Amino acid sequence: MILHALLLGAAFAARAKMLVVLENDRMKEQYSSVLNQLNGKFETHYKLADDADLHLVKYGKNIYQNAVIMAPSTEQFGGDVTTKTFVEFTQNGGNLMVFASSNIGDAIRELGAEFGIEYDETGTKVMSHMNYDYERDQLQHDHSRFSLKASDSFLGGSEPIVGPPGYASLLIDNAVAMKIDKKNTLAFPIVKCNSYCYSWFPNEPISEYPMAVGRDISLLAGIQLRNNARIVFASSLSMFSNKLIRQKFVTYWDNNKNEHARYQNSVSKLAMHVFAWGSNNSGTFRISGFQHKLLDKENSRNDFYYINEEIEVVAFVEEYVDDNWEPTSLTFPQLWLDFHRLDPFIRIPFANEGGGKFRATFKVPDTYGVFNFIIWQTKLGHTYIEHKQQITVRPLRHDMYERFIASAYPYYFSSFSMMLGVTLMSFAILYHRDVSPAKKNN
Amino acid sequence: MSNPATQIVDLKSQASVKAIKTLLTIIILTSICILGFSSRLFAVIRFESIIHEFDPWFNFRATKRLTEHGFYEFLNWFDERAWYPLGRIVGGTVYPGLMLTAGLMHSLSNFLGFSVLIKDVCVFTAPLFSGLTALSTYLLTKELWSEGAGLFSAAFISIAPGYISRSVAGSYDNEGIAIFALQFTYFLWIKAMKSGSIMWATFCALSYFYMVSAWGGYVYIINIIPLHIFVLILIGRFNLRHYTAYTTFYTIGQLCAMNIPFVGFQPIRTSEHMASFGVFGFVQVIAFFGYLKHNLGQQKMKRLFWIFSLLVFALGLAAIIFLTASGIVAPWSGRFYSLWDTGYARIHIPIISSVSEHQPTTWTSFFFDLHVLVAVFPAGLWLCVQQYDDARVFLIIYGVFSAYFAGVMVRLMLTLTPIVCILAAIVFSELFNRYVSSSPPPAESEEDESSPNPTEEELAVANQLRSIVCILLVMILFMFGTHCTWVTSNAYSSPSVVLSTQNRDGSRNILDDFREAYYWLRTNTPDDARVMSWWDYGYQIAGMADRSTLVDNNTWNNTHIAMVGKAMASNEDKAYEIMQELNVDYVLVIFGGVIGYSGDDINKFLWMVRIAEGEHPDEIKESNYFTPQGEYKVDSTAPKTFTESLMYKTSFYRFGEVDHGDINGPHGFDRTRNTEIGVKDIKVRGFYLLISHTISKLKHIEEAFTTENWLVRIYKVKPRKNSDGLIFQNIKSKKFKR
Repeated sequence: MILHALLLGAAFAARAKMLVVLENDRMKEQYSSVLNQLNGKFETHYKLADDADLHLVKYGKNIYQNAVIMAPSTEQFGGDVTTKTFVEFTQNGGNLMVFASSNIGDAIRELGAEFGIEYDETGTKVMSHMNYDYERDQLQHDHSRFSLKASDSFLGGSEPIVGPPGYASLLIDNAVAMKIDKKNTLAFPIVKCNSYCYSWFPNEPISEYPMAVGRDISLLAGIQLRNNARIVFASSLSMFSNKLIRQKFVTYWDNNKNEHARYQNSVSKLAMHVFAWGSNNSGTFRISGFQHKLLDKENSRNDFYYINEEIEVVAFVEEYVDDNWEPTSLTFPQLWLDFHRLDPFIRIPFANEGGGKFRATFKVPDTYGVFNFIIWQTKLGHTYIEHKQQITVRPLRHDMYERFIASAYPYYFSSFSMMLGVTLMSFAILYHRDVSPAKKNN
Repeated sequence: MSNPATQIVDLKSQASVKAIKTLLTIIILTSICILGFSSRLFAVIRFESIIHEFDPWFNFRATKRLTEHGFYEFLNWFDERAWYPLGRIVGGTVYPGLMLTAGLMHSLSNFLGFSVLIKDVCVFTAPLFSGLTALSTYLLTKELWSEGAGLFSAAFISIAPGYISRSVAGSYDNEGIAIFALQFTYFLWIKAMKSGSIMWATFCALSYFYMVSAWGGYVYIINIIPLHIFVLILIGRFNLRHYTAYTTFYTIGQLCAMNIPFVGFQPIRTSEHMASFGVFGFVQVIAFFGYLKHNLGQQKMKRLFWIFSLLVFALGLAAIIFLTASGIVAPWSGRFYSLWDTGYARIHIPIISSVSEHQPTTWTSFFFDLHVLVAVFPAGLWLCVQQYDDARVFLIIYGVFSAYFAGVMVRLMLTLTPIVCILAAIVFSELFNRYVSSSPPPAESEEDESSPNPTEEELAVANQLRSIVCILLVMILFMFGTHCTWVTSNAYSSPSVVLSTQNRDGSRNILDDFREAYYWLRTNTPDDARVMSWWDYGYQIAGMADRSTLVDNNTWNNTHIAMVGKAMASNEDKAYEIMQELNVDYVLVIFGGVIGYSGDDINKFLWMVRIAEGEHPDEIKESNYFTPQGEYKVDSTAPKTFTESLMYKTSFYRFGEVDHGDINGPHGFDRTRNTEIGVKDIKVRGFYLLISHTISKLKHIEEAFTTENWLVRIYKVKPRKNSDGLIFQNIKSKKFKR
């Protein structure tokens, strides 16, 4: 439903509306390389975090389809926006991207908590003593700007989120540690720290075990709600600033070679893909059509089936590409169909016939009842693909059974011979005169 | 007498007496029929022409289907709205006699030009058949005793509450026509066994066929008639007339019965029918030996015959036991076990004992349903034993067995009523015979031949005594009539779909909550919405709201019912899982706390728990729903398992806000159980917060509709929350953790 609303919005307004919340006006310049990308794709509206005119939802409806919150240190949002507003915004289907930083304020912290994301204390930073930026560290000795090798920081295999492989390394800066609760089944990390990282106040002795160390620290996390609203939490804002995103290489100390080495910075690529995913422009699918009918060419009945009939099911899947719904390609991963009555009686894959058409044929089970066709596919990075349709499977009619069964011929014979016998016997008794009729009188 | 002229006058007067008698009989019987019909109309006059209770709603729905779609569509009807998602093959799981009868009457009246609604045909089917029942009872009693007794019995059966309870207008149930079929089959059976005629036996079999098509109680016939034959054999009165009647009846009757899809092969496969089959075989053996004896004429044959026949009997019994044990013949069904052992159902099949009409009968209900008839019933039995013949043996068997079964189950009071009416009629008829006629009865004078003839004075005293006895008898009958009418009007004429209360000034207040709720469902929910309720309301929801139900009054699938019971008895989270699995859209509960309606779901709740416990013993425990003192209470002592259960929450949701117009009285006072409820919802902050004990809110369901008097409450099952699966962090406690 919400997807449809999105679709309609896209069709009429051509471009989806996006709200960008900034801390101050200077940030427009500092982050222009990322924001310009968004300006090209969306109808962007810029607001300051403490703007008294800041609104996300009006009369229960979302004003924007997407919201990007680039105001990490905010203690309280202006206008009528509170944490609950963001919850309502996402419940209504809005996509949300939230950027934090080591100077994280209460507003963002509470927002994270609402979605099951826990931030470390204000002032703490994620630090790494292994791949820190050598040049910067000469000036500011806190190891909080470091690079992560792509190979040990990415969650594998979700192309819709991070795009095709080919990342070298990411330059992380001034990040606050972010932890995802294990029980939080909807949230997942997109970028994790490597095992050298830890989170603490810079230049202070570590007095107790940090809140998060190593791989527990997420730097970028994604959530997809059941209505396919997407939420991205980033733990560092400054790594997307013009200054750092344009920094093509990071110098660091290579322990093996005992010299300074350089890594390529792939943050701009990551930003591009994550923004696309987070605004539902990547990995967004829908079932645009679903039909089922008898496989029989002459009979196209589809309001109910009898047991053991062969039927054909066709589903059409579309993908949202460049503001348009287009049939999915042949590369779409396998789609499964359940024929379900309390338990799945049939579970078969569809055959992808191209042009977004998926086809499956099967024999209705030998069990009557009210069944459901169910397509329910969840794949990381994809929208949930869901379809449910009820259908009745009836038992055979009284005249649909076989009329003459070979194994019943002995019975047929016995009944007919019985009839004949009775007739003959009646004749015999009726026309046979006994020798002594007195005997009959009992 | 020797004078031919007087003879002719005598004959003439005899003929006219006979004519008058016939006329009187016809008039009496007609007025009995009218009486029976009209005394069943209380419900229609007080409320309206409406189908009553629960099962009749299904019968009505099926009949509508039949008249709208024709016989074959009815036969092949697969009802996808019942027992979601299993569905029900209605054609094969129903006794179609009632629907066919009503459908036939409907099309006949329409053919004749009377356009009658099928609903009205259904409403008036049972009263119409009560007239036929009276007629067939008259015929049966006349055949067994006398015409006078016949008229009495017809009058009795037409107003006896035991039968009226199932045949008032609107009570469109199988029993309404089945009692007629039962009585008529018995009449034809007596006719057949007396005459030994194949014709009468065939008629009997056909009538039996009608009975089979109408009611599961046909098993009663197919066991009583063989028993009759068996007893006749034992007392040595078995003859070829009985042989002809029984064999003809058995073969044709069972063949016909097997053509009812619901009965199918049961006559040769289930234990309930094995007695008749055994007697059938036994009778063949006896007839064969009779033939041998007759032809050979040897006295020795007699001994051989007994030995051999006993041997065959024992062998047959052993064979039946073997077949039952090996599973070829189905063992007795649970319902039949519960007839022998009244505690059986309570332990093994709670679903059977959860029905109030399956409880053992209290003696008060014997009196309530039969009044004076039950008192004279033993006397009638005694008269039959005293003056027994082949046919009257049947009455004795019928009476004794019915009395036993009626004592086991309230419901079977219905089969006791006809025989009680017959035997009581015999008693009354004998009494009146003795005391009404002015001449001393001939039998007495023969006995007292030695004593001197009574004097004038003695005769006068005797006459006065006689009239006193007669007046007393008539008074008793008057009281019987009054009682019957009173019971009919007060106990058996409530449609239970519509309730009524009486105001202080005597005016009546109609509570139409059920139809209000069902109409709401019908008009406000999607066509394929699935409604979860306890099974009692399944037929009504299907009939009135036309929505899918999970379980209904055709309690064929205990597991499914236990699933619903488990959902009702579990807390909201677990219930939600079950409801999601069963695609439930709405939950419907009956709640009587506002008006004090005692038949509500909270009072039935323990049965739900018990049935659920039967299937899921490790998850549901009955003892968890009692207070530590072992009581079942809804007040603040109620255990948490109970107050957290879906049933408690849905029943008492927002009930804490209700005040009953009494300023000092507590809020949320349950009038059915006369207690203040323990858990009150917090909907209004402030004052209620102070008086409530625990906070209870609905998480996965929301109130959709509550009727005027809160009798029916409907909840909508919310879809899964979009954020379900997110864990909300409580940052207030974590913020200053270090």
